[in-house]
Amino acid sequence: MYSELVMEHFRNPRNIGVIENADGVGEVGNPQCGDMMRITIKVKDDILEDIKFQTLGCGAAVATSSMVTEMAKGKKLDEAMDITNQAVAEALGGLPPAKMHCSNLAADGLQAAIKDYRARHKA
Amino acid sequence: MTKDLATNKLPVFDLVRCKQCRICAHFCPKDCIAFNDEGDPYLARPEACTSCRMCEYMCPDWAVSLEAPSEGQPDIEAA
Amino acid sequence: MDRVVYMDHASTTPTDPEVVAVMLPWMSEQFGNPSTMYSLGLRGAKVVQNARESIAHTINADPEEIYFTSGGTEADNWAILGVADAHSKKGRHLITSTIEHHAVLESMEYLEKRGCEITRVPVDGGGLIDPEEVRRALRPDTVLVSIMYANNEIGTIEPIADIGRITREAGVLFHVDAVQAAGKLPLDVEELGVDMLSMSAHKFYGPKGVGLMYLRKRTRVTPLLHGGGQERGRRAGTTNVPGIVGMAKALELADNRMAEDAVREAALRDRLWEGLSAGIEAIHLNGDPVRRLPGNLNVRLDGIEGESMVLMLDMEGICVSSGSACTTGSLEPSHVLLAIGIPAEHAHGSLRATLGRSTTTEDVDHFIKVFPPIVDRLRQMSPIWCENCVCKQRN
Repeated sequence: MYSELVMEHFRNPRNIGVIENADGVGEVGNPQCGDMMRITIKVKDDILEDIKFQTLGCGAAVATSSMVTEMAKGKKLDEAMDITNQAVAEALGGLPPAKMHCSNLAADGLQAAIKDYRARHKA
Repeated sequence: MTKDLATNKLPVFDLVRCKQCRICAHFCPKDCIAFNDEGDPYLARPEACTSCRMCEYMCPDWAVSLEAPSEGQPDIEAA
Repeated sequence: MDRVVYMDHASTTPTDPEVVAVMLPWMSEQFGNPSTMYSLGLRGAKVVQNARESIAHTINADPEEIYFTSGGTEADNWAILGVADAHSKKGRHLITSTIEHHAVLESMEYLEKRGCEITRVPVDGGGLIDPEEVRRALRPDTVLVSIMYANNEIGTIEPIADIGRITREAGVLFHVDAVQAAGKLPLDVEELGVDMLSMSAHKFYGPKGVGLMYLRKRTRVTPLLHGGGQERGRRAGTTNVPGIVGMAKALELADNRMAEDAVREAALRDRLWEGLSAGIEAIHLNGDPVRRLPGNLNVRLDGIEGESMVLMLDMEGICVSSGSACTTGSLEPSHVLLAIGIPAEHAHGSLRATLGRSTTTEDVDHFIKVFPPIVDRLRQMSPIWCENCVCKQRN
């Protein structure tokens, strides 16, 4: 059902965990819907220096969470904001149609974390 | 714990149908069912019975039914 | 991955080699169509008749009351749609429960959209139906009560005989979906007081694609499939000779070893539950602790989603299923788990293991050994599982 790349990210997810004293936190989803994600980010000079996630959800939710952290790490905040759910799914070699909604979590979570950072650090 | 919806009913054994396979006792979660010297089942501990009906469901011979106990004799063996 | 531990017998079972053996001639040299006049076909007609008699004998019915179908779904659809159509002059009210299989619930919904009224009686926290709820739901225009004998997800066994007495008293037709019960619980249509009963061969070590409906004599049901005059004009379609032969053999085998299988599977199931609950925290049993099918175990784990557990267990060679939305192909978790009062967020974290004939003590112990680290790993990556937080204080 899942591509080999999706399964590889599910088996060995990158950047799992929580950053202590994070500069921004994004939380999306809801346990009632069966999936939820928390992303914490560390920002330095407008660049995503570190990023970690925790995800409750299916294989697709875990894999897209893992992939979005890989894609965003080291990027400028504006560039990271431009990562779409579609782009994450494509980077994973596609997802089964019934699973596309699971991929929405990942980029949404990242954007929520960046917005949180920006709200905290308004000049 | 399991409480039967049709409360207070206890298993009654039809010894004409019973072939003494003992599956009723096997599935009794409270070990209420014992066997006499002839090998016939009887409800040995009616006070422990939860009316869960597993004895009734598992009996291959339809020899167990749950019935409201008759006055004063909840543990009587059915003829 | 060499080892495969198959614990999804409620989903399907491997066809028994003895069943395969009796089927083979009827797909090769004895391929004739039973609806023909020459001996090649008539031999098929004869063997189908023998199968009909054998199955009828097992469930205490007459051979003319057995109608072969393509499986449980067709039998369920036929019973519900067929009765609703044939009895529409009497009324358009049907009664079912909240935990039926989709084959029943979707058929009911189809009728509802076309003007029928459906009452769905509730169940208690263990999934049990109170027969009195069925009695209360009965109306003068009720044409059918459809209740499952045993639930496919949590294995709950329903008080069919009690409901049968109520429907008989009221003169209302009673259909029982016995797909999960067939081959596991003794079936006797007279003792149970049913008018219609569905079963499916592949759930009891028979082939896929064949099932049956028991239909009590003189019960009016509109056919679902129209065409040739097979099954006494009530179910068209070329007779599935090998499937029917295989189903009859499978039911015979299941009936012969029913008690033995039940005792063994219940003991293994209990061993599995004891092992898992001893080794894992915040794991809970779904459904009735006692009144369930012998091989059925359904649990939920706080802080984890079901599909991820299924995928991780698959890497260890263990085949199980989950009540999470992601495995049901919808956004809603299992309707059965919701109906027994389990909140959605917990229903998503449910896992069903259904044991069967091939299950061994080693299989169970393998599961008990590999599952706790999987749970730990998934909880470590879960945003709603943390040491000493509220999630552990829930029950």
